[in-house]
Parts: sequence; C-alpha cells; structure tokens
Amino acid sequence: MSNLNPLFLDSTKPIGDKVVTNVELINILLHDDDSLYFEVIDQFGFTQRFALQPIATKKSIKYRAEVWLKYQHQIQYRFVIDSEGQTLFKSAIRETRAGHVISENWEPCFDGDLVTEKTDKLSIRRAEFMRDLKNPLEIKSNSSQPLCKPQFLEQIKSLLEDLL
Amino acid sequence: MSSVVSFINQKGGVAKTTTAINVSAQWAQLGKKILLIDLDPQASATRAIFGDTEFENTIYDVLTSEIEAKEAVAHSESFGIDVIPSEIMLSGIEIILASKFGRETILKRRLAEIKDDYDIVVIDCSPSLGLLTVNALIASKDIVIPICPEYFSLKGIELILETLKNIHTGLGHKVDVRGIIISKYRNRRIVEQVIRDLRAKHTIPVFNNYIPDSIVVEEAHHKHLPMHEFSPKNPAGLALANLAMEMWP
Repeated sequence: MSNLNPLFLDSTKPIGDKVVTNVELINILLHDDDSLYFEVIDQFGFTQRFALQPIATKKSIKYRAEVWLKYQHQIQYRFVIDSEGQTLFKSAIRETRAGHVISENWEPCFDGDLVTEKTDKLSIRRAEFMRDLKNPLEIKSNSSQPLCKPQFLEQIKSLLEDLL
Repeated sequence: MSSVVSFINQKGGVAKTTTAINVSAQWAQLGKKILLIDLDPQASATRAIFGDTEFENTIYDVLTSEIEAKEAVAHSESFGIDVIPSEIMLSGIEIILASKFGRETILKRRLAEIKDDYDIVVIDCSPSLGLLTVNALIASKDIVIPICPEYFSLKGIELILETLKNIHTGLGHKVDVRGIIISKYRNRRIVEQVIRDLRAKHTIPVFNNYIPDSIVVEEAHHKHLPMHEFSPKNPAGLALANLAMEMWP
C-alpha cells in the first residue's frame, strides 16, 4: 500500500485553486421523466449545468452532484427541473463564494420569462406541484446580475493571469 | 473526557466482537459508562447482544446524517452498556460516503456530541480496511488488535501498522496501538512460537491475558449474555475479565 492510496488522501485539501463542492438536495420528489440540475454561473457569466444524481439512503432520497469550483470565487447558482426537454421549475438564483459545501432547501420559484413553452402538461404539473406546497410561494429577492451574459474579455484576462 | 478505542483487524474470525463486547461489559461492571459502536455490516456485536431485534435507527442512519447519534443509542441491560447497533445496509455505505467532503472524519464528527457522555467508547470494526475502518481509526485515540496466533496474523499486523502510518502521513491523525490481544489461544508449541515471534518482531505490547479457545464463548453469544454472567468461572470468561483490567486498570 502506498501513500497514493486514495483511501488516505485528505478530502478536505484543495487541489490547485479548485475545490470539490458537494451539492446536495433533499426532500424533493421527482416524476419519472424529470431531471434535476444544478446550474452554476461564474463571475464571467459562464454557465455550467450539472445533473444531480439520486442517492437513496434508508430513510430518504438525496440528489447530489460533485462540482469543481475555484475556491472562494463568486458564483451564482440555482436548481432546475427539466422534463422532456423543457424546464419545469427553477429555484431562485443565489449568490455565494465557492466553498466545499453548498446546501440549500428547495424554495420554489417560477420565472415565467424563462419557461418558454407552457404546454398543458407543464401547466398541470406545475399546478400539482403548487398543491403539494404547504406554504405560499415566495420568490426570493436577490441582487444577482442577469444570467448568461458572457464577459469574454474579462474571462480571457483571467485565463492569461492563471497562465502567467 | 472519554476515550475512544477501536478493536480492529482486517482478518475475520479473530474474536474482535467477542473481545469488544465482553471487555465492554466488564468495564461497565466496574462502573464505567460504555458506548459500543457496531461498525461491522454483519452486525455480529448487535446480534450477540440483542439477538434478532430489528432496530429502526442504526449507525447507518447516523453516518448518512439522517439522525443524531444519540437517537440511535440502545441500552443493553444484560451487558450494562449503551450500543449503537449495525445493520446490513452498512455494507453499501462506503459508496455513499466516498465522495463526501471530509469523508474520513464523518464518524468522528457524528460522535462529537455524545462521546463525552461516556468514559469509554468502543468501536467494533468490520474485517476490512475500507473507508468505514478509516473512519473508526480517525475517531479513535487508541486501537487494540485481536489476533489468532497463527502465521497469517503476523502479516496482518504489518498491514495494520502500515495503514496507521498512512493515516498519520495522509490524514494527519496519530493513533496509538494499545496492544495485541491473543484470542482463541491453544497451548501448542507452534502457537507459543508465533507469540514469541510476535513479541520479538514488534514493539507493540502483547496483553498477557490470552483468551483461550472455548465453546462456552459461543454459547454465551447464543444466550446474548456477557461471559462474566454466563460462565464467570470459565477460563475464557476469567481471561476476558482480567484482560479488561489489564487494558484499562
């Protein structure tokens, strides 16, 4: 057995300037065709989407993804449920600094502009979802910048800085 | 301030569970408050103490953060100790824990809130050197290594010592080896030879109270009783009682 055995690697140590961030979502019920994603937008507006995989424990099902993020860099993130290629639900966008763990309770939030096609099926599903909620919906206010606006020049500058 | 001690050997059938539960019961009889954690998916300690009782809350639920450690504690009247039981679901937990941040310290963190309620926390490890055992080692201050005095056991000890070195180097945690327990002892020339080799080769202390091979120990398991209650005058029972004193006077 050598020191390179992964069993004896400290999982809390950053590798380079990146850290593994465990994203975990609990208390959510998905239908068969639903997919759950974690979307993260970096400081340059670059969006990455990670599928959350179900991990069944004895008492519950958790959805989890492992994401590599630049340690302490500012990010925006949200959770998205897609069904048959269409976005069903989105959580509010949150802003934080990248650390080891992002743990967030699902707070439903519908952004009408971003759900482009509202088919009958989607409407029904959303209505079902609304019925299941005990508390009235609230869209959390945030001070986030608009998403998906690339800042290529800033991004290239940062990459050059990294290289140098 | 409590002490956490793991009974560890990656080899099966070396009487880890027998020594762990009986030494714990003996300590309890001497007035110490003991918590035994069954970290073996085979749940041998749980079965030996509670029989076929099914537990809703086990160490699996504690490690997956479904419940707090204190919610999984069950008390055994006959052994006089608290136990966090195990279950077969534990065999799949390493997959769940493997990608977790701080995966190697999960048990230590989960025990932090209750360990000071006890004088000694005893961890009965599974016969493997996986993530569960690493968690036990990180949670422990000391370990004891039960072995059967045979050739393969000598090799096994080297592997455990190598693991402790790797844990110190890679994870920055130093574990002390309190000693080696000789179990299933038979008075044969070759057995004595192995014990002599063991003492000569390693600087780790070997406890003087050897546990003789005895069917009575097995019978005590079937009755879910500690040896000091089931057959106090049996040589194995006496040896276990003396071993408890030798380990923690």
